[in-house]
Amino acid sequence: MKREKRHGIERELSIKRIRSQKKYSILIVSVLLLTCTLIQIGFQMSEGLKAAYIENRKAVYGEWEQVFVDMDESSVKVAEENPFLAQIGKISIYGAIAGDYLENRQMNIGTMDETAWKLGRLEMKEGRLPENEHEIAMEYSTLRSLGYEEMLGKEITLDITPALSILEQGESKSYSYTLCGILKDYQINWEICNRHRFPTGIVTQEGGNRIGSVQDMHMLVKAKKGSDSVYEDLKNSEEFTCGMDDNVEQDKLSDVNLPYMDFLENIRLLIGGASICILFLTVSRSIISREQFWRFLDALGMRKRQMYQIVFWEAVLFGAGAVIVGNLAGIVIYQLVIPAFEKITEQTLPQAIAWEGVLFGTGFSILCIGASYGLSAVQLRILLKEKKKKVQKRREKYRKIVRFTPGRVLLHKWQMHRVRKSVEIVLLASVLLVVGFGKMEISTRREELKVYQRLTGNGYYLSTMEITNSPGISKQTVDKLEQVAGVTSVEQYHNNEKEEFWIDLSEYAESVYFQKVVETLVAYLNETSIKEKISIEKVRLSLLTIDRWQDIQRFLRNLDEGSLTKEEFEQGDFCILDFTELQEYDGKYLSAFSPDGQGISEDTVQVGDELPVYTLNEDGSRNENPIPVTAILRGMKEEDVRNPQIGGSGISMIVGKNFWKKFGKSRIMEYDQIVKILVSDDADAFDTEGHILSILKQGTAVNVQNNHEEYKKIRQELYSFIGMYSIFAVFYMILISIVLYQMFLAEKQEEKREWEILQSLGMEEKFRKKMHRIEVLWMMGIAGVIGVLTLWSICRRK
Amino acid sequence: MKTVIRLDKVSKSYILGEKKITALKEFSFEVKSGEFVAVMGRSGSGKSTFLKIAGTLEKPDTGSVFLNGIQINGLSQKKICKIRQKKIGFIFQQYQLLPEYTIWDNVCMPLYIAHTVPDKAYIRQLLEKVGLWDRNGDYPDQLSGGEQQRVAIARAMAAKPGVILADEPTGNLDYQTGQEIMKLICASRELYRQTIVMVTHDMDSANYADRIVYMEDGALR
Repeated sequence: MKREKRHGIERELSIKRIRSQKKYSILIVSVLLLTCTLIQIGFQMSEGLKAAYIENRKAVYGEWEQVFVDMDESSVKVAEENPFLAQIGKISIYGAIAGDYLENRQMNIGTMDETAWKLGRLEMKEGRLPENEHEIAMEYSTLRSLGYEEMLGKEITLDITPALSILEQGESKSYSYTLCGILKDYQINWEICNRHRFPTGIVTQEGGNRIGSVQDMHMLVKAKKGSDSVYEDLKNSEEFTCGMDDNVEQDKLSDVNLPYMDFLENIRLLIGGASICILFLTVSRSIISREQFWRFLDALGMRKRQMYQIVFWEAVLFGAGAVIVGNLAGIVIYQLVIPAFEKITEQTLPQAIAWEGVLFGTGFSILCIGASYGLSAVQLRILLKEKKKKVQKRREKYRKIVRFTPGRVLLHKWQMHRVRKSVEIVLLASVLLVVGFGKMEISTRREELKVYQRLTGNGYYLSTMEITNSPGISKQTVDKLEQVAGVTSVEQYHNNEKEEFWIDLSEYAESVYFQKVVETLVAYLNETSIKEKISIEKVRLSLLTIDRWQDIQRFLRNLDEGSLTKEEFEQGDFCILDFTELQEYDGKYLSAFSPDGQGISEDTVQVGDELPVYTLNEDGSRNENPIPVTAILRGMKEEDVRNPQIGGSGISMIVGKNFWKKFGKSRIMEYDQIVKILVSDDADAFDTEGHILSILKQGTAVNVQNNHEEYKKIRQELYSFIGMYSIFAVFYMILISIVLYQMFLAEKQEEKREWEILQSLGMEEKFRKKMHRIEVLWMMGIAGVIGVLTLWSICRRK
Repeated sequence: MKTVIRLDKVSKSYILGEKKITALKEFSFEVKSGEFVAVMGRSGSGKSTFLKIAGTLEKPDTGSVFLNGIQINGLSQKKICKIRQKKIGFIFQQYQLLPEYTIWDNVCMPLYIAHTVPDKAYIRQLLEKVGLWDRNGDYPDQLSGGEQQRVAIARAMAAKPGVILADEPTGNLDYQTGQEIMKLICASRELYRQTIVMVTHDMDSANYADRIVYMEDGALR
């Protein structure tokens, strides 16, 4: 006897159905394919980005998992004897040549063994590593900073402090070494050499001994596979007393660190959710439309389980093909768009297929299909078993028509098809949400970038460090900085952050402006524990001094009263008052840029007035000098918002160099020196930074605040977001359009049939059109309200 | 007797793909008041087109249609709708009930559309007559085919129209139910003195009519 097929009538019925319902099958397959493709692209993108992030991290930080820092003998012993550590690279530091240990900015001289070299992923640019005590290999940017970049094979002299911090003991000695090799730049310059303890100058042990004893000992380590707990064990060990810096854990933070990861995950969920809704709607609709067929099968004695199997087979037949083809298409499309995507994300993405992504993508696709068909099977169950009772119960509520108006008829229709209508509205709202969220996010990020550019700018901020005998940053240095390729502007200022200056405004006590300034200062002091008496006779003064004529131009351009010639500027005997309009914020009055000029302005002080400015002696007496007003700025212009800005709490003045002399403060370090360097967006920031550092020479103890990195990050985030958002928004719109089109088409057919009946009963076309218009309005309105409210709640949560 | 329906040299054709199908060819026909006419003919002979034109659901290409002496051609859509609401009741082969409304609402639908308050006693009487008063709160999908057609008959009577146009009212029903429906139509006709035009294939149903006419190729045979 012929053996019965394993999959019998259920599969046959599914196949028959698929073959006979071509439109339905095409729709389901399109949605499934699109979903699987999108999901797979999403997973490939996120996995690719994660891999790129990890690879970038490795390139910058190396392959070590942990670094043991500031090791003592017992810690070294424990580490060396630990059987679970596969690789141990040793680094010894003998001294420092520049930088600040406490601020993680230091150039060190030390030794490094081969394992540390490999784990650190360091590379030679030219030459080789040292072989004797008179040789040294140095990092390229360090050499540039010291002005030794062309000295390979020649003797160089370094001022080395045999201590951990050059601030700790100022004693440094000159040592001569032959430069035998140049290392490729450590990726983030100074940060890395201190944070991760790589010496920027590598010598042999004997070469180190010339400086003195080992000041600090570190180890770069990697555990054997599968022994991650070794670090926890070491931490708990009593003999292991050194510090530990984690690297491997950082890889796991890629989700957090990559801003677009959040977006990718959310959009994946959105697509998954939307596809479940869409498939459920389409499949359940098809199931309901086959009611006769199910009843017929029921009459033939088919068990419910068998009927579920028909649905199951449909899911398998559609799903299997779509999952395979869709995911493959996702992988192929992703591979094709990698170059474009690399441009968007400014990351070098791996060409290899992310198998984890394939796995997750496929799993997620199967989950979506399973969920939608599972829900549809529930629908079949309802249809076969409990439909009448439930529907009857629901229908009871809407039994009699009270008024036959378009709105009323529509409401009745919506009540009867509440699930379908809800889904349609939710899908419409989701379109609004996707568009609104994208627009909002892009504008926020654009604004953030704009604000950053306006207030901080793409560039660097130099400030003198609090160190004795520092010559500061000379005008010549600033002029040189201006010549650096990529630098668009350099501005130099001094302010009085460390010195307190006061002004007596009792002569102008009637001025509302000054009253508000005093009121605000008092309010601020009340919020702190500082016990300072502020009154109209004692108002805090913010001072800004500008050394170069070109740097003061942006203020001079906007003067409201008075003027300043170049001669007057050179003489250094001037005072420009800033009376930026006050704006109210939470009961306090702060000077702020007011485009509409609606703030409180000051007009009692005139050019030529002499203002009593003073400092306080230790005994509380005043050291007062009358300062004549040369010019007045009465309203801040947008360009003045850019830092360093005058303004802030109190009264602000731009003063010449003689101002400080009047108060007996002639030395540069008695007031802070600030240089702001802006670079062009197109500049090779790495080169520019190297050049800037080489001009400054780190020995001058200047703090370099890198605003470029942050700017680049914000800009990259913006571009990445725009790129990815556009891709997904387009795909999402396609998906939603297919579904809504299908749903509206089915509805239209139903309406057509209904209209034929109503028309025969005498209904006017006008009534139907009105109903249609109301429906469109209601749907758009409700979807709009839901979309806007959701957007609003997202904004609030943010 | 007064002529209720008059079609004068009515022609109607449809374009089906690239082919022109002539449904009615200079068709002229009259139905007198209170008359029950059965229109028979093969599929495609133009019976349904005639009924749709007589019922103002479609406009003729040429010729004139008169209802109670009023020429329908040229009337505004609004007026045509009013005529449909007040003067004509339709019964279809597929029952054409609105599935989202109860039996009661389905029957009252022509009155709702005409913004007329239903005469509850009359509607009840109608539903009792068709034997479905106790099911007035049910929905069409809870009724059998015969029951649905009885609802359709009640609906056609609801606005007390002078003319009932029935398009194969027994076409979807078994013999027994078909006969019951025909008896019901005749009883209603007696009770409300209506003019009935019925298109049918079924001779047994046609035999209930006062007059039987045959159509062929868009004209009377």
